[in-house]
Formats: sequence, structure tokens, C-alpha cells
Amino acid sequence: MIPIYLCDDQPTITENLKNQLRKVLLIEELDFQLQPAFHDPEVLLKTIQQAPQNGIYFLDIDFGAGAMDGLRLGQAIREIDPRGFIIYVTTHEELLPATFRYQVEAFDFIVKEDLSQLLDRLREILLAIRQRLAQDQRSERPQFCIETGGMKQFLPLDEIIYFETTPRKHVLAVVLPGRRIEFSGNLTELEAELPEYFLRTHRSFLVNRQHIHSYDRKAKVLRLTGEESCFVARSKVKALGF
Amino acid sequence: MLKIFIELLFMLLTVLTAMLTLTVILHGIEERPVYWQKELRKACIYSLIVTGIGVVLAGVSGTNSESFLELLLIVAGGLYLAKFQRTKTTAEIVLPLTLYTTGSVFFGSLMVDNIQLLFDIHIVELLLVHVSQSSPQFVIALVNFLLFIYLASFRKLPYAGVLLRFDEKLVNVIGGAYLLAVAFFSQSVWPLWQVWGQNNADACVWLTILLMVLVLNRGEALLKIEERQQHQQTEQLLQQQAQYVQHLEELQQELRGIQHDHKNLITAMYLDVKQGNLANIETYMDQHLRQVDVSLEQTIKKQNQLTQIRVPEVKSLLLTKLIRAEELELKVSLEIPQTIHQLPIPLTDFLRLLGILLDNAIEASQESVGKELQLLFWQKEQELHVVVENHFSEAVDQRQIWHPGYSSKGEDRGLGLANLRKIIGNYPHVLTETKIQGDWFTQILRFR
Repeated sequence: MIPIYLCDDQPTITENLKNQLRKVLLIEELDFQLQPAFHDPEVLLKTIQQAPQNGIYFLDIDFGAGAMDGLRLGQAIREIDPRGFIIYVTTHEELLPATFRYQVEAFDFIVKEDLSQLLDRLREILLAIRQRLAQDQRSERPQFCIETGGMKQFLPLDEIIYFETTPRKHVLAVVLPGRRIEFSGNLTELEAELPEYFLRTHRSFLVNRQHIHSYDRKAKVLRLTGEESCFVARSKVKALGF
Repeated sequence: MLKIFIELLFMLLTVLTAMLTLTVILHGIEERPVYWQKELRKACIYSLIVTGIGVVLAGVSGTNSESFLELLLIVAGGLYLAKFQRTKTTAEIVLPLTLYTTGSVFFGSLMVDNIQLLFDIHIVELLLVHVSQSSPQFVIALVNFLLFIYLASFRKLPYAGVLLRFDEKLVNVIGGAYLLAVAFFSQSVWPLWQVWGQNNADACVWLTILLMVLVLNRGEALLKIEERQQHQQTEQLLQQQAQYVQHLEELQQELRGIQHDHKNLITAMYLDVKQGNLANIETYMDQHLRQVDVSLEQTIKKQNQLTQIRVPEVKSLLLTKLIRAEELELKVSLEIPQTIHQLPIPLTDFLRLLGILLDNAIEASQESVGKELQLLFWQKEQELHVVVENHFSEAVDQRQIWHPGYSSKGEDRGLGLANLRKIIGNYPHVLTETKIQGDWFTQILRFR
């Protein structure tokens, strides 16, 4: 059962949220467990540290002077629960969606001023989380972690199509469907680290075997998932069975 | 011994002069100011007149017409220089002066039947004559050395750079003094030249003068171009700032209106409170207080974010692009949580990168359904991350995006991204990320 945590320094807000959440859980028969509300970010962090698991978090952004702010709280939660769902409850004024999405992969935002729509928004969000969880069920799968500028990004290994070198020294790129991320690394070290189904087809490519579709004899390249292609050394073609 | 030394000096001067003149001619022609032709015409007329007078006077007094002419030219040149020193720039003084003296010599030589002078400036001939007379190895070594310097100067054109750093007046004084000194020298060491031939020595002098002019002229032209560029940049910055101020004024107007509305509202509510009409108050608050004009709030927020950038050029660029995006009716959001005081890479490259990213994002979202654009500058210690997210409508082949010339819109328009890649290629500490999620296209630059 996935826990739902609330954290806001104003009890009226948490109380209101709790009531509405309870309604949604009942109506939609969702398998989430509402936890008692927190008013201090530190206490919340201590609690989840004791029993780390995937959770859903509704967080305030401004906890008053001297306290940890919502962004730092979100980052701290990410350290403990990298795949939890963080939703910020905030005012229009404080709302910086791109920042929060980029820094803590915030799942969604609820604007405090639009309280009349609160029930609908909560329903929307919780249903979206359920859907995401259902997708992830089959994906209790190994992840590849890259660190780009102090931020960890988790990429499912089986989704990675290939790694390649770039014209710049010590900069590699990882390619997934619809995504290309550069990071610092070394292809040879990576090859040793990764499971065997990652093949070094060429001095500049480390390819996921599951994503190899065919060998293009004319262009002398491997055709991969998502219209991607990569070079292959002549000596490796036979080993691939083409 | 002295004779050889002076001969060598002149030869060195001649070779250097010819080479540098060639460089300047090859590299500097397009930067030559327009008044060049006008001054040439003027100089020709002047020299005709002065030469005419000189020849007549020489004929009357019976002296050697050529040396008399030279003396006359020097005096005239000095006067010319003195006259314009205060008001004109170096090139404007030296260029016509030299054109005038060269022209005088030309017409003068025509008149004194000494046209040979003009054909004696061939360096090869000069060298051959000299090599046959003195130590050939030394001359060859010297020529090689000069060639080396010449080739090295090709890449950097150091003389223009050096001159640019001088104060303009100083250049004027040095240039003028040099010209006069050379002319005087040519007179006072006259007897020593007899071996080599007066014509060759003259050629050296004139070539040196010509070199001075061309070099100064080129430096001046570069200075002018730089000034013009700076001027343009300042003007652009001012224009952008004016736009910014106008923006703020509009905002103030809007705020004043809202303040007015609120006053009325509070008066009405006050009456309602007095009468105990709670239902009315609730409606009022719901309709007016909570939902302050959303677009106004967005605008204020954007302006607030913009003040976080403390690099004026970047702020200007952002503002320009934001205004353009608004004109195209795009929904733009800008987030800059931390103050940005300095940039991780040189300004010009940063501006180019940012310009390309924003132009692409604006263009793509303009053609999309959602028409949304989100910008984020995230700074943490030494790192700066620029995240540009935009709606797009066409299927973009992610891999192709990075190839030169690619754009889903056809030729040339994809060059922006190729340029982006080229610029980033110079910075190993910049990492990129490209992401397509639904109809959102995200481009991230991470400066470590």
C-alpha cells in the first residue's frame, strides 16, 4: 500500500486536503494510505527515512522563515525515495513549475487559490498516479543512473538503445526513444560495467542488443529501434549473426 | 662600412615595405574608407600645381630641379600636416599627404624627364643589383627572416593591433615626425646614395611612406569599424531598455486600475459587512480578490524573474525574445530562481547559444497547437542549466536535429542547431540533453 504524506505549516490547509483526499480515495477505491499530516519538513523526512518506500507527497513550498523550503524538501525526499510522486500545493505567486519539474521531477501542482476545483484536481492526480504505477508494475527493472550537474537521473536499462561517444573528450551520450542525454564518462569503462547484452559494435558505439533490428548491408549500419542506426565494425557483423 | 650598413638598412626597409604593403593591399582593401578616391583626385590636382610651380621656380633659379622639388614637397607636406593635425585623424592627414607627394614625384618626374624612377621600385631588380655587390649569404638570410616575419604577420596582422592601442594624437605625432625624418634623412645622406643610385633610394623613401599610410589607414579603418559596432550595440541596448521601461509603465498603469477597482470593492464590502450580508461578501471575494487578473500576475512574475539576471546583454536578449514571443501570441513562462551574476562561458558564445535555442523554440511553438514556451535558468554554485521547453507540431527526428542543415521546415533553417553544436564543441564542460515527450520538445544545456 502506497502512503500519502501531507506537509504544510498551516493546519487548515492540511485538514482541508485530507478531507478531500479521503473522499477521492473512497469514491475511486484507490489503494493508497493516507498518513497523518506533517507540519514540519524535518519530521516528515525523519519519518520516511525510517521506512523508505514509494510514496505520494503533497508539499507546501513556503514553510516560513528559517525552515527548509519546498524545493529543498523535495530534493531531500528524492534522495530517500527517488521514484515517489511529489505534488506541490502552492499559491500562484510561488509557483515555478519548470523549476520544480526540473529539479525534483515534481509530478503535479495544486494552486491554493483554486480551492473550488480542489476535489477534481486531486482526483485527476491520484488517477494519473495509479496509471503510472500500473505501467511501472512490469518495470521493476534495473536502472542506469547518470549524474548530470548534481542531479541523478534514473533510466531503465532495457529502454536504452545505445551509448555513443561525442566529438568531445570524455563526453558520452545515451540515447533512449525520444531522448538523448550527454554525460561525462568513458565507453570502455561503461562496457565493463553494463550487462552483457550491451555490445560494443564499433569503437564509438555500445548498443543494447534487444534494440537491434537488422543490418543494412548497403549503408553498413545497424538499424535500431525508433529509426535510429549505428555503425558496426566489419569484424562484429558476423558475431551478431547477420 | 657605414655605406654597406646604410645600404642594407634601405634594402631591409624596401623589402619589408613591399611585403607589408602587399599584405595591407590584400587584406585591407575592403576596409578602406570611401574618401580614398576623393582624396586621390584632390592630391593629383594639388601635386600638378605644386610641381608646376616647383619646375618654374627651379628653371628660374637654375638649381637642380629635382632636389629643389623635393625640398618644396617636404615643406608643403609639413605645412599640410600642421594644418590638419588638430582636426583630422591620422589617415585623413597622412593619406592625402602621401598621395600628394607621390603624385608630385610622379608628375615631377614626368616633367624632369625622370620616369625611370617609377620603374626602379622593383624589389627583385633591387635585390639582384645588391646581391651582386655585397655578401649574398647574408642577404638571403635576411630575406628569409623577413619572409618569416611576413608570414607570421599574415595571421595576426600585428601592426594594426599595435597601432590601435596607441592614443590617436600620439599616432599623429609619431607618424608625422617619421615622415619628415625620412624625408630629411633622404636629403642629408644624399652623397652616400650615389653608389646605389638616387632613384633606388627615392623608391625606398616613397615606399616607406606608402607603407606608413596604408598601415595607419588600415588601423584607422579598423578603429572606425569597431567604433561603429560598439555604437550599434549601445543603440540596441538602449532600444531594448526603452522597451523594458515601456513594459514597466504599462504594468504600472494596469496596477493603478486594479488599485482603483479594489478601493471600490472594499467600500462595497464595507457596506455589506455593516449590513451583515455574508453571502455577498463571499461572492465578491471569490470573484475579485482571489482571481486577480491572471495575465497581469503572469506579467509581473515574468518581470520579477527577469531582474534575476544581472548580465545586461543576456537580459536584453531575453527581453527581446520574450516580447517577440508575446507578439506572436505564445504563452511564455520564465523561471529564474537564483540570481545570475556571471556566465560560465564567454558572453558572445553564450548569447549565440541562447539566441539559437530561443529562436528555434519560438519558431516551433508558433506552428504548434499549444503555443507554449517555458524557460528555466537554474544555477547552483558554479553550474548553470538552461532548460527550454516548447510545444511542437511536426514529427522531429531527434537524431537528425543535430545534423547540419536539418530542419523539418526545409533547407537552411536547421543551421541554427548545427551552429549550436559547433559552438558547444569548443566547450567540453557543456552537456546537452534533448527530449521529446508528447507534444513537448525540451532542450537542456548544462554548463558545468
